[in-house]
Amino acid sequence: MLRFEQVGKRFGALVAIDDVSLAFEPGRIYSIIGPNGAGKSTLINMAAGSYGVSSGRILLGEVELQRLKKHQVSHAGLSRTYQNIRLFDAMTALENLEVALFHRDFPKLAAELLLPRRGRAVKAARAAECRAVLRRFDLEADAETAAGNLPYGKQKLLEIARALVTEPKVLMLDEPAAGLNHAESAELRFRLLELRRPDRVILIVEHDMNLVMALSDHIAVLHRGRLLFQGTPAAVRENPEVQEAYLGSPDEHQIIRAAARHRTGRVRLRADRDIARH
Amino acid sequence: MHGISAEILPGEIVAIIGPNGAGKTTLLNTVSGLCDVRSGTIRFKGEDIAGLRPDKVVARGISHCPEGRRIFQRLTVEENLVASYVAGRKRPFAELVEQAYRMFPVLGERRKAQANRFSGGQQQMLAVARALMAQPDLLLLDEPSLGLAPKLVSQILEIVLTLADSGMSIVLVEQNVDAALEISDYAYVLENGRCVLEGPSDKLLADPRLREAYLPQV
Repeated sequence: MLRFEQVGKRFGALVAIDDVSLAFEPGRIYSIIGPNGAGKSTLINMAAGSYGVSSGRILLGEVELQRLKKHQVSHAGLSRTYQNIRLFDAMTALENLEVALFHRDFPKLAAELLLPRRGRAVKAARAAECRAVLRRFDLEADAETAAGNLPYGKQKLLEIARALVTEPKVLMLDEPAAGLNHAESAELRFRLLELRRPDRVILIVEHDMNLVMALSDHIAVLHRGRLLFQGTPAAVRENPEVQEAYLGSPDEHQIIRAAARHRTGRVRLRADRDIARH
Repeated sequence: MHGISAEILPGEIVAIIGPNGAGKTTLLNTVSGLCDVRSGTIRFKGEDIAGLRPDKVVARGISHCPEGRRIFQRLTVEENLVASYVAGRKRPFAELVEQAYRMFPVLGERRKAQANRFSGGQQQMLAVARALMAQPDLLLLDEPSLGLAPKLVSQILEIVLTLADSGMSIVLVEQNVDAALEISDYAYVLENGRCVLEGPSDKLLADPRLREAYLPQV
């Protein structure tokens, strides 16, 4: 359904994406992983119309996304979230979702503004629809809270809710688990699983390997703008090149743990104390 | 925050853990002067620093690497480092810059590049490098592993260990609870603005109550 065909992106002399081809089928959850600066977010930004491509095509069905502007991409059925949360902070949680439906409800705008009764009905229907999405994320109680005043974890969820309210065919999530702790990340995993639909591609860029490995049907690994490897979570985990470039080998983790345990030259301070509960 | 008491010794790594909204970032912000203190005192090297302006706090030897990176987007890597150098402290500028590029080679390779051209993870590295330019005695790190590749997370933690071995005190706010407890000496667990649990990190790591709340079930 979504295809990158020999896509390239340059920023001046820097080649951010070099001849990447990827295909995504509906009903599946995909992840893109890779070292910092490998070009993961750049891929999302090109598909979403934030960046132009330097070469190649990005197809959603028959539509060439790389020719479209951001809002046109959204109308074509692709939604995304951002690595750094980009909500409308001063607007309520509910309003953040309603805004996303502005284009869809645009034909009804004249009626909404000019005919009081009809207008109320249109607004009420939209609000009900948005509240239903908020409910899926346990955010209904926060509907009237300004988005900027919500705690970080809820803001992350609200961004996903906003991306979902347009019922996208492709949902792209840029680091949805960043800044969440293990418990929150585990909860997110179940919420994301619930978003899977036979007619929808879910594409996740993420460094939380617990989440990625548990959730993905297929993983693509980018390294220096190129596709290094792709396959099932198990295949990715075992691949020596991926370990070298990104995951780190099990040995490396052991070395650091050992270093932490036996810090040379000094002992752990306050190690003699007991745990105190307050 | 409601009546939190905590301490950190020279060369110690202290982890602050707890769910989102527990007050971890606020705690760091009160130390660095980004946030007012309603009551209580904050003593650093014997002096009360509560309510000092952020630049005065830096001058006393406390660097804060904030949540969300907050680097100077329009400046180059090198300019970010220049802007964060505090003259008159121990080591010369050139030496500190060299150290930064040794820790994070990608910053050295692209020292003339504008920071907003960097990926999120690279900006995080720059934020850590920048915090070290002030040669702090106390470093406040707010989620340094956020958005970093697993391999780089190990690297950052290794750097934290090295800095502590050189005598620097480090407060580490981390969602990566098991890693934070493995490398730290002592930890405080915050919930709803209160400190609910504290103790040596290895003991906390083995504590069933903490494991249940914060660590992935194996």
